[in-house]
Amino acid sequence: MEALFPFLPLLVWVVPIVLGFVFGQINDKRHYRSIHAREQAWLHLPVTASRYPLLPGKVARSELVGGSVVVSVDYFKRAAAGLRSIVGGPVKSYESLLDRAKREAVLRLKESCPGAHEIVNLRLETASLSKNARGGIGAVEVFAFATAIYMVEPGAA
Amino acid sequence: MKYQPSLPSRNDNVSDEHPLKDFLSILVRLAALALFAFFLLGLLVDTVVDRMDASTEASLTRLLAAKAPEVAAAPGRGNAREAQLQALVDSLRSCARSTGPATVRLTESKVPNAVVLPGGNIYVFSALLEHVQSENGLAFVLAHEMAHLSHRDHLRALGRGIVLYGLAALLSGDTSALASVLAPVRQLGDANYSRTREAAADARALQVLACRYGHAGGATEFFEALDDGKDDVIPGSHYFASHPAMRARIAALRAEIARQRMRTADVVPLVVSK
Repeated sequence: MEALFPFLPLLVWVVPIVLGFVFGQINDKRHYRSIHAREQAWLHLPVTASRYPLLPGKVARSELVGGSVVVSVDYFKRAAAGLRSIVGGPVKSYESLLDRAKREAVLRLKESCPGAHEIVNLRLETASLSKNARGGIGAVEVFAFATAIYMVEPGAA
Repeated sequence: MKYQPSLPSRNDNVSDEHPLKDFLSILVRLAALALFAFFLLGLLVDTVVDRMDASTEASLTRLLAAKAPEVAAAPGRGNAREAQLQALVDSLRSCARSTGPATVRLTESKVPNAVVLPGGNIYVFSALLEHVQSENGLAFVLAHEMAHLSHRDHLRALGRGIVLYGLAALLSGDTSALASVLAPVRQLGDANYSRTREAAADARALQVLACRYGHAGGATEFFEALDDGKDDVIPGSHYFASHPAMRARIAALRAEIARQRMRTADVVPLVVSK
């Protein structure tokens, strides 16, 4: 038993990575399931980055809408990105984090204006929380903002 | 323009490959590179230590002697025992052809062990005195430690430690966490290396013992005492972790005694100062 003592520091390193991997994968899958279902449900509401509406007709009202989300990275992804930062190259472990954050922010934006007929002028901003501070929590904020359009007679030519 | 609602069939923004693949491939490549660098730099340390001239070694010894930990001598009879050990070491000097300082310090410990620290310091753990019966047996252990000193094994260990620390700092940009993580790995990697160093020290100690007493009696005494089964595993003793297995060491010593046709005669009983 005592022979294992020298390996305790190794355990301190391995355990958070394994925990991060397990919980991170579960969380990733669960979030993607939710994103896919809600994107399908909100497919009827068009969102564009264009300055002009796609839909024909007169605009009755427009308003500024926003949706923001803060997502943290798990320990495994951070360790993988840390290793990646030594050798360089695409940081694949952060891809799903940012993809989920952007799609979630747009979904929240849509959910904030259920009666709108179209959303134009979509913009996305990202902010990294705690930046590069040592021991920082390594989370990202994505803020989506746009103009929601309400038509006088939707669908009228 | 007509709006046709549809979702993209696939997501190109997230790679499909398993997240572990990226992690493990970098980890394995970096570890291989670090091990290779450690191996090469270890050889470099050996070269530097081997080629170091006596005056450099002496100045390093002086530099490091100031840093060696001061231990409280065993209370009461400790000083007399320490003086006795020092006298024994001094009597081995001409046979060991040792030129640098060799200062014996006795420390209270339940682990039968002796270690060499930089600066020419030999630390003898008090339990060791209970495991040797004769002066010859004790002289062999002390000669073994003196051989480490004259082989500059403490400088090699120090050099390898610095190399490891440097590599850890280079990889992590931080010396604290990774160095402690690498410590056990280093023990594994170094075990084979230090076994060869221990065997070399054993061989030298045997010569010194034969020179000092005229015969090789008592050479295996300490190892036999440890091998008698009473002390299965004594953690922390360097006679176990990196030293060749007791029986293999005893066998190697006996083979060497036979090969060199050394005599084994009666040993001088050890009278430990009260």
